[in-house]
Amino acid sequence: MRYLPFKHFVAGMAVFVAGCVGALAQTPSLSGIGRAPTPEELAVLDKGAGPSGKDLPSGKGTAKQGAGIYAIKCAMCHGQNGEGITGAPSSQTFFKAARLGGGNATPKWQSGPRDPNAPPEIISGSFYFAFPTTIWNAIAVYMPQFRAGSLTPDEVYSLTAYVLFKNNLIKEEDVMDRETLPKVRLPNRDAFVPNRIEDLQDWDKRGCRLPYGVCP
Amino acid sequence: MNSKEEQKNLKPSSRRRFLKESAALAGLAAVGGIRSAQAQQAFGLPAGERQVGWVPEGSIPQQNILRDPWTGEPLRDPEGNPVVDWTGSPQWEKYRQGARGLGGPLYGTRDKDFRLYGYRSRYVTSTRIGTNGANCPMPTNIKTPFFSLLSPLEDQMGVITPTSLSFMDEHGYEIPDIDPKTHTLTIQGMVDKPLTFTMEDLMRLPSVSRIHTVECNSNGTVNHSNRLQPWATPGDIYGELSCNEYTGVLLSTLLQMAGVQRGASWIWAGAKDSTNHTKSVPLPKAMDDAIVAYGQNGEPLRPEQGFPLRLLTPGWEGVTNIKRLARIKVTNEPGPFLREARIYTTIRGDGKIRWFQFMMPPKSVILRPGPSHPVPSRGYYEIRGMAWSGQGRVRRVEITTDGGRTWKDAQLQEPVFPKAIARFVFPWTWNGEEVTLASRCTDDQGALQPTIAEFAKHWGTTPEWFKTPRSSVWRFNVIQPWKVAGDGRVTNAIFTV
Repeated sequence: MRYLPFKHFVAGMAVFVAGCVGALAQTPSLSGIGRAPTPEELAVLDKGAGPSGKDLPSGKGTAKQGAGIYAIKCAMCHGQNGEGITGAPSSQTFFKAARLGGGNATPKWQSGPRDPNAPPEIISGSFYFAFPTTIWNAIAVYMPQFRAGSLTPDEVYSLTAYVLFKNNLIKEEDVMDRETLPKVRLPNRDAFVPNRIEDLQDWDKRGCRLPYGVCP
Repeated sequence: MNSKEEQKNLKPSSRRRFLKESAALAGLAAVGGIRSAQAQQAFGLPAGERQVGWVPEGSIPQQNILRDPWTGEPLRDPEGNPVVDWTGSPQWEKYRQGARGLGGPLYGTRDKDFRLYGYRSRYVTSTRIGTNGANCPMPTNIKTPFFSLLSPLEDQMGVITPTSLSFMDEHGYEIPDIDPKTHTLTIQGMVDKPLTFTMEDLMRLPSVSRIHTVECNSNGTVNHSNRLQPWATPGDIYGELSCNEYTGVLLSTLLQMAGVQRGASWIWAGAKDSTNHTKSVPLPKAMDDAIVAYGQNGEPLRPEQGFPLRLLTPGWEGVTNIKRLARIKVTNEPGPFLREARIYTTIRGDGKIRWFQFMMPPKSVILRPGPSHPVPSRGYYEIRGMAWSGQGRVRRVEITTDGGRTWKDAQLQEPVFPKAIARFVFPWTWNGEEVTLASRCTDDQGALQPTIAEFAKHWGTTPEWFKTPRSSVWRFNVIQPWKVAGDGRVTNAIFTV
């Protein structure tokens, strides 16, 4: 290789560096990558509602209507009466089978062994969750398993009403719709800390980082 | 017939051609017969004579002939012979059965073709640890019989968990079989421009590649089988942890492309699986270091870890690392969804329930010595282990070799990556007496692993309470002690420090 004079080398490096800096200074535009989803695609994907209920679709249902749908689409895993079946495909958690109804107690700290004479405590989802829209989400987004998200809004309102009814939280003929569902008050709402959703993201105020890195 | 001598005798230009040809031929010769007469000459074979194993053109299986990807025409070498990749052909199978090259029969080429994707020595038998959780479901026809498969940490030598030994928690039981050509990710909700991306789109975008842990929030819990037993290994105790290199596009890039609207404060990240598992994630985390990952340890994600796409939320509980990510909805409130409204909350001694905790706390564990690595005799051992924290970098690891009375700093292997496993070593001489070893980790936020007494106080109870397996003991990051007995056996000494 021919020897390259140093001054040429310096000039070459200066141009190279200037080129690099120039290239870095302007990030190329990413427009054109990705496409707009079609309204049908958005509708299929856009399931679920927050506690305010603003994402709830139009529709309605009662527990009476929900019972009919439940018998066909849900009872094989969740039991004839919402009692849950051990070993069913949906019994995926550490807890008992997917029990839906019959709730009669909110969760309590267990310091010692349970009193054998006390009536059995059934802590169903409705007696644990903070918001009724979580029941909606479980049915509208997660269920039925292997056909998740396949129920219509009317079906989901009916089944949500059915679950609430089976936990004695609403009456069998109460109509659940986008106005009435968010207003149902679940028994365990005030157990959660921090109680307000607005406070959830303030880690330092919550004291999560210290002393062990676990929220109090 | 020494090819090196041949090489020296050739002129420069033909030397270059020889090298080019032989390089190409070396690749193809490994997969089949040498067809070109010139090549035969270069390799010292008499010109014109057919080599043993020569296959007439009519007998070459059609799918093994390489074709021009644009025209579909068979490729031909300068002599006019078709270019062939013999992989998988009956001729190759017959050849491979008796071949001593390419790994040889001891490497296993007789039974299986390991050229394509390697494997480890048959003397290395480390496997994942299977568990069905506390309440074992009955016999099932589900394809993946195990609810979770734990990583055998005691066998992990470095910071990276081997892909095939990385842990898996499959809440829906089934691992879906997703075609990456049809899989999409949609950003919707409070954005200026909803966008749907294909895998090809995502792989075009600016990428990052980072080393991070994924850890289940129950990792270390007293609830897991064996965790309280004296024979529990680091894998039994902390096996719901793996540290891999994840490659993908930052979620912030995608959100910026879609244009997040004022007032948004949460995202809902949803999967495409048997229950469309969805989690609420605060928007600041999504904009910080969350990655939409397609790569794991240098190759595409494994199906167990979410092929083809996974949301990575570095340092946060495993369940927020949504596998088979299919949608992100930008919004201003959490769901809450099933796996944050009940399971993944923890009840306190005063009856209140903690929720939305997200971050994983600092933890550490000595890997050697351990139940599967006893100390056979007195003398020098390097105590080795791993430490990690979801809050940031491991700043410091201390070791006690006298049951917690005194603590000394261990040496951390550099570089220490944030929200990843840090490897530590500590020189130790065993004098043959019974002793308890332990490690404790401090992270860069200043959080320090607690003793069992401190942790129990935090929970509003006593250490006794943890001695029975109970569900919902999450984020159990107490110091993990190991007892070394006089005969060199090492056992799990939980609750003693």
